[in-house]
Amino acid sequence: MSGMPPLFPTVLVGAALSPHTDALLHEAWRLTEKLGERLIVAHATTGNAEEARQELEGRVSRNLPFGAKAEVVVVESGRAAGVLTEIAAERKVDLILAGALAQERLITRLIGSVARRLAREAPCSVLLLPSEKDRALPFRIIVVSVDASDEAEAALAVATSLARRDPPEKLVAMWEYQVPGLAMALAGGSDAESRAQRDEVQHEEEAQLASLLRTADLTNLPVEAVCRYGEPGWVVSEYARTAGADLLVVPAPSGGGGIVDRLFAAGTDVVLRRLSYSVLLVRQAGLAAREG
Amino acid sequence: MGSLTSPEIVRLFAGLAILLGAAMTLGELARRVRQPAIVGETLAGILLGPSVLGIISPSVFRTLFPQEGPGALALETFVTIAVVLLLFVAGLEMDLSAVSRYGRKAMVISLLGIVVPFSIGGAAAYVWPDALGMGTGADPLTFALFFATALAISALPVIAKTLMDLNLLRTDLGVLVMTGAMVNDLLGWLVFSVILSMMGTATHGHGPWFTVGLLLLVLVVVFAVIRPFVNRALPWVQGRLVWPGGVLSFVLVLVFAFSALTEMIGIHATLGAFLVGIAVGDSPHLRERTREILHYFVMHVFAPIFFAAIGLYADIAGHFNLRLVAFVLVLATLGKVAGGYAGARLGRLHGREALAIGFGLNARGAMGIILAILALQYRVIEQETFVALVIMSLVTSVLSGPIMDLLMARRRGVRITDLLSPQTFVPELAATTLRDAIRELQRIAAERTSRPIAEIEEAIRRHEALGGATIGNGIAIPHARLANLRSPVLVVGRSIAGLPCSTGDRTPIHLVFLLLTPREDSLVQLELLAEIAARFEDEEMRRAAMRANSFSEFLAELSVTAATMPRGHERA
Repeated sequence: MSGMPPLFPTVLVGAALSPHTDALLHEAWRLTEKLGERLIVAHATTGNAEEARQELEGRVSRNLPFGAKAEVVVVESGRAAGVLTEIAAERKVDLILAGALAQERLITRLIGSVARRLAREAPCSVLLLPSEKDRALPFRIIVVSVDASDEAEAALAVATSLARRDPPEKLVAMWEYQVPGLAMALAGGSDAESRAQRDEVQHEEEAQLASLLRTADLTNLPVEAVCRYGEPGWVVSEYARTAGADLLVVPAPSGGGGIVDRLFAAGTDVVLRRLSYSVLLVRQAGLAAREG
Repeated sequence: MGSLTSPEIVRLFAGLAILLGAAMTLGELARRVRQPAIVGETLAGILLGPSVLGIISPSVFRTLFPQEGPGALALETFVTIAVVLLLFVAGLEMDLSAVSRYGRKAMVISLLGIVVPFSIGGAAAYVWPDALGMGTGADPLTFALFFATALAISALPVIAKTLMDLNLLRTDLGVLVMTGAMVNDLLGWLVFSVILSMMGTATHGHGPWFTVGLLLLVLVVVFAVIRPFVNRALPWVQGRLVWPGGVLSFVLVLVFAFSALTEMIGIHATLGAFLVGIAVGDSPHLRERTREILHYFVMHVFAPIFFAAIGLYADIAGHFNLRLVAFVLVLATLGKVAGGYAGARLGRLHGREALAIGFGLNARGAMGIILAILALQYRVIEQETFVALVIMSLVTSVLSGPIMDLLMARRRGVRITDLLSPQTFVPELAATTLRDAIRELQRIAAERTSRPIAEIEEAIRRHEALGGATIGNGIAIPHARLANLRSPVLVVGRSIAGLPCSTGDRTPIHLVFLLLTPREDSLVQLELLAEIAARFEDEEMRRAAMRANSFSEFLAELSVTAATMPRGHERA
């Protein structure tokens, strides 16, 4: 998009040297062309680093267009997520792209834990490409999870920026809310009172969503506003799945990630349980400043 | 097998009808005077119990509510089922992911909200067991632990209803209170189940550490087996079986089966029901309508009978000890309010809000009464202590709402006209670019807030990185949230010539609104931003704002349109 600064100037892709890596590299380049300027390809190996480097460089040259440049980094380590996080911090990366980072037979199990580590510990935004998807772009249907927080505002801003650079068919701003104890509080009253109270809550939440969208720059974007009650994370991920979304944009969580968060998953942890679409976890820090 | 005789059946159903009818009537009356229904329901039982009916007409009392024999056993069975179902619906509302969502603040409030009253109650009961009515032959440690738990528990249904009535349920403060109460209840019931097992060692032969081990195993089974099973089964049950009957039956099967299992292994049936409630309530597949129906089923049939039946157990008049009641009430209130307050203050909430959280958590309601009845059945406490605990549970429930209301005097929604002053209005900006204009306004904001200008610059810069400050129509609203900001700050600057704009509709910027809001109030920023956007999307309003020759005229123009605009909803 001429005249628009890059949204993620430096993109880092984690490559596991699996059959999925070729598709991942190809997509990494396409994303860098659309949204960034510079691509770094990183690999963590517990084997021979030099051999791994040669193989990776070979794959890079096969999957990137002639003349395209990408920096290749190979680190001897078994901790893929940790390596990506460290490189991202050192080189001030703006976006980490990750797909299947482990052996094929462990994809389903490990991508969850690696994805969660990246989601919580990466110093920048993270785009997760599920292993069964060979293509990230184009994003035909983008769903972005919003609420009144700064982090959600950042997610909305990134989603709209993405939409300007690669216009989708639909950009859905989804406001999900849950009120702990609401059913219990309403149980003492009549059914009619309960209905009325729930309707009032729904209207108020819809008004807040409208307020949020009013203050965002949505000029010429095909935006749809959706407000739903339910478990945060679950509602938006189910909506994205049933709507056939290509990309779900959510605020990146910070801290935590331990056993408590895995047992009582909330928000992003729920989203990461099932990845049938790409997920962009937006971290405020690391977003490129733009001229106002 | 023995069975009830016809007269016993008559007495049983007549007794149930009277209990339910009286509880329903007085519960409804309590609701109409904006008190928890439990107050009316328990009062109904007191009136029908030995304290009133038992004195007015002992023969009628003994006929309707026999104290022994098959009829008494049948009624006690009903009460036991009611207790189990009450714990089930309490578990249903446990949203432990809220602790994860709300982070450290919620955890600190939750933990201190239980640790402080637990410590105070346990210490008092250990030091003064006779004064607090320890049961004859009861173990002092068991009594101390029970008393500590009784003071540490909170009543989720009462708290939820109180918060809703005060319009606080959906506020940050309301969520913190609910989260704190949830953790209180979870930990409280886990501890109490160990205590009950200790009290039941004669029948099960388990020591306390073995019980703790069993409890951990039960927790693993619930989270590793039952919760995933419910997640898989619920969509099928709700979709394929007749609704709502099918899901009701399915849930009750789980409740009764797991209650039987936990009772069998020496952990009280109530905990089994509570944990099943957590597993079922945690499932995102549980429809809200199903949740409501489960609540209705329990709260309008079993709960009234249970709370009315409490009065049958408690001879209030005969065992009322004013000093003991006062002592228990003071201990309970002191512990809970202090714990909640301390937790909230550590979470950097202001004094009034912290106190409101303390009093919000103070309601003991149904949970306190259930604990008391179980302790009485196991002879851990005497009748006087039981009466004191019931009264404490009711009084704390009744007072919680009014005190919170006083502390959280509801503020009307904030408007931009409330925030403006001559000192925060710049009629003509000296800056010729938007960036410089923002800096100009930041200096004023720094003076108003007594905050370092670097902090404000950094906060605004982070927001600008998201998408710029312009919203079109020549309006820019650079904004940010600041931690521990007491109230919102708005600084307005005008540029007659217009500042160049390279984003959005590229209209030159004539009005810049620099807005700072408290980080702790997630909604006020949204409301104020929306108000600014809504007002100034009107071209006439923009022209009037630029025409104003003074701050007074500017404010007057805003105030004229203010009368026609709705306020943000009332918030804590």
